Amino acid sequence: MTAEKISVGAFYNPHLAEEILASGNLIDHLAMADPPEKNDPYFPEVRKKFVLLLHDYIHQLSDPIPPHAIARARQLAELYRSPWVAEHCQCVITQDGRFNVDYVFPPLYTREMLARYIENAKVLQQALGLPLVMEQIPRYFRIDLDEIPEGQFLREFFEASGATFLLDIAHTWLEARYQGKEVHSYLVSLPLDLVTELHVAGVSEYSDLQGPWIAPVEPSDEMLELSAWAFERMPNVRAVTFDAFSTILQPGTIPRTVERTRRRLGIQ
Amino acid sequence: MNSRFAQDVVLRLLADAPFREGVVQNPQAFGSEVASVVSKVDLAGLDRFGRFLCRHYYRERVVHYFKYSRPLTPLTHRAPEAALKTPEFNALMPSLILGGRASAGAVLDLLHRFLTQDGEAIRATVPYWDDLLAYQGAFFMSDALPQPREAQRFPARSETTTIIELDWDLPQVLPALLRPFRDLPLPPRRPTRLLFARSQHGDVTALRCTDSLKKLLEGLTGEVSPDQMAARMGLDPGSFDKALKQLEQLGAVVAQESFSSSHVGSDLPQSR
Repeated sequence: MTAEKISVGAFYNPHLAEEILASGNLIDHLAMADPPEKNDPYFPEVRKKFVLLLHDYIHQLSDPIPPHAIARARQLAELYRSPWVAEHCQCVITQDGRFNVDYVFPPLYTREMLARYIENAKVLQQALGLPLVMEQIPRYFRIDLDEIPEGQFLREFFEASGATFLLDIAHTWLEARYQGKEVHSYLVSLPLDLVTELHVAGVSEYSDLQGPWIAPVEPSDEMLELSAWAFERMPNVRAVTFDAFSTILQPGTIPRTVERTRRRLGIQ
Repeated sequence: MNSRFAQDVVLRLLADAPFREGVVQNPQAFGSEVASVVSKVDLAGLDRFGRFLCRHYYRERVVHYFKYSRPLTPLTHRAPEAALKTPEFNALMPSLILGGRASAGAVLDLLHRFLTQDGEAIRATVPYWDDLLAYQGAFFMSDALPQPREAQRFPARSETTTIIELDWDLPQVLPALLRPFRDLPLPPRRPTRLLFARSQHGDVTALRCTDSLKKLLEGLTGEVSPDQMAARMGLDPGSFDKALKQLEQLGAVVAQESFSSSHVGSDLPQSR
């Protein structure tokens, strides 16, 4: 990726590899949520044609990162030749390893957690020799145990660790909705000046949640409108990615969404 | 109370439905620190999110591990993940602990009932249907966490290790099931034994299990020394040690403390 050009891409969905490879110059990069299958016949060509971004689960930054997790991340980053690596602002496994929600879930925004995230992010970046971007995660239900606002937690984390921000617009929309905030006001409380990568994504209704949540679907026009509003306030953004990774993703969804994203954000 | 501990309480509330129900009923019974966390959480929202996570957790695993049954849906008229939308699964959810073996067993039982109900027509069309379910079910179960247990004196077979005996040589046909097909791909009909093992990092491996490997694993009770086991099996200690290290890396064997994975060979020993 060059500093001048903003890269537009999607997630690598192996069942849609043929379509992705046939997309011409529409897609610049692919985020990799899983390592390629050993027998994926398309991956060598995919690796040749696209910039690949490591967007796998490395380890939660709330706890020290074990050597095997660092070794795995290093191996994948080398395979992908990834210009940066991504991790989520999440804490999903208990310290004793007994309970794991196996899904993104944010930490409590406290000073203690902030110190842990900064320390472990520094170790990770040093071990990999690559920049880190961290994606914010929405909270569905109210927890009154925070000491600082999410935006302050993120800014202090990025400034102290040297990592930068991966902002997911659907996560932003959901966080605002479930915490009862106006979405634009909430967006400006986040460190938009530190965004390196923007995720555009859609949401779907879930009966268990009695409302919308993260889903591998196309963004609505409203979501793309919000993406464009945020994008204009991100002076350092380098990549925009359609965040959808699922075997249920239908043919046509990726090219159509990347095309819509390019058009709405004015990226040729 | 530090915030990492508080985070753990919230995570357990989400992952462990019986704990969640108990805490909601009587938070003080779980200690003042847990009660303090619970007092600051929207419990109705937490319960909804816990149910969402539960369904998501098992759906991910059913879609992943039962991926060979999915392309057969036009023949069987039931997608495996549809079991998770049934009233039976809803009724099961309050008893489930994500990652727990008993919970995985309960979900697998439900799934098996769902996929074999009125199964004669399916078996007539897909003759290896029961073997396929056994194969996928073994993977599904190997994914679940083992119960914590005390260290054994000598190497012992891991709780998550499973051996299954099949009538059909399924590994021969599995890749073909994931490609488009007009006529149902058929594997050779011959007795086939497979070993499933879960590594400490959660990777599940399936491999063909020879008689000697089965005998070796059955002998690993934690009460017999490696030298004794090697002698019983007529193997030289070096080859036996190498095999143990391979099995340890796969997660089929819980090693004694002095074991190291630093040297792992590429094959299993043959009887001399």
